[in-house]
Amino acid sequence: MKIKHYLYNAFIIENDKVKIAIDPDRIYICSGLVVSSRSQNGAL
Amino acid sequence: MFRLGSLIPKSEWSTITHILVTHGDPDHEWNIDRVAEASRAPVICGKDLVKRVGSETLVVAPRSRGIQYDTPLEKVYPIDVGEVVNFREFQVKGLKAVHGPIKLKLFGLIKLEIKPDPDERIGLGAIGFEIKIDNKVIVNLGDSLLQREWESLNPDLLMIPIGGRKVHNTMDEEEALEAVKMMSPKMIIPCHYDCGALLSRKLNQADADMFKREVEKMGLECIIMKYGDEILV
Repeated sequence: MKIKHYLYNAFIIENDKVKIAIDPDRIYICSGLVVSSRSQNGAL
Repeated sequence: MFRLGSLIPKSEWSTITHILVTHGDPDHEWNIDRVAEASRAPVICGKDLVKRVGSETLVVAPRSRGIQYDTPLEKVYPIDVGEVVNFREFQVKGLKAVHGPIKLKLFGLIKLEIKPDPDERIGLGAIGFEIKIDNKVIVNLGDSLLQREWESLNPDLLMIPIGGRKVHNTMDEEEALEAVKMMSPKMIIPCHYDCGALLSRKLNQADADMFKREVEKMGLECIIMKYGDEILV
């Protein structure tokens, strides 16, 4: 089973034919800070 | 300068088979109708997020400020604490979750506190999920404060918020550690901390490394996941 995380409480749980999304949400921030925030968390 | 974006990439939306929503705050519910439309997946959420009007099931408008039940969804399973929904491949049970108040300082001066309430959007429909899938139990607690009712859960994997130190809208690190002690999960993923929002790079600040060290002292596994990380369990 695969677990993916996208900050906040956003997760995907993937197993066989099932792909569960938890809290498909939005982010609303200054675009310059998106890069900072996500790079701080190691991605994008 | 400002932009809206989806945390779960849009490239994933059409292949989602089920959507779980822990409450109605924008950082949790914003895209449910869009993901549901793209995927035709059913939505499982707390009862207070949903109203039945005639033959339609309406959820709280994801992108409106107040509480307006005006967004139709094709397939919705509203659940309460203790209620179970069985799908062919997995089972979902509602768990008690209580969203904390939101305390904000605007421009460093004006203090604003919004307490969860039936007429208030913050924390509306708060519910946690116990997911039984592939002979494993996964627990997601949403943005909850510590609840004694979780004591007997003992999940294989616990997704737990730790970023409530300043705002106390969720558990902080210490409260989350208390919850971990109560539940003795095999594996823990801390979440809802150091989130970028508005002009802040790190809303809901937390010391995830300290949390991980303390969890490991209990002999349990803690995994810190960055944006887009994936693990196999």
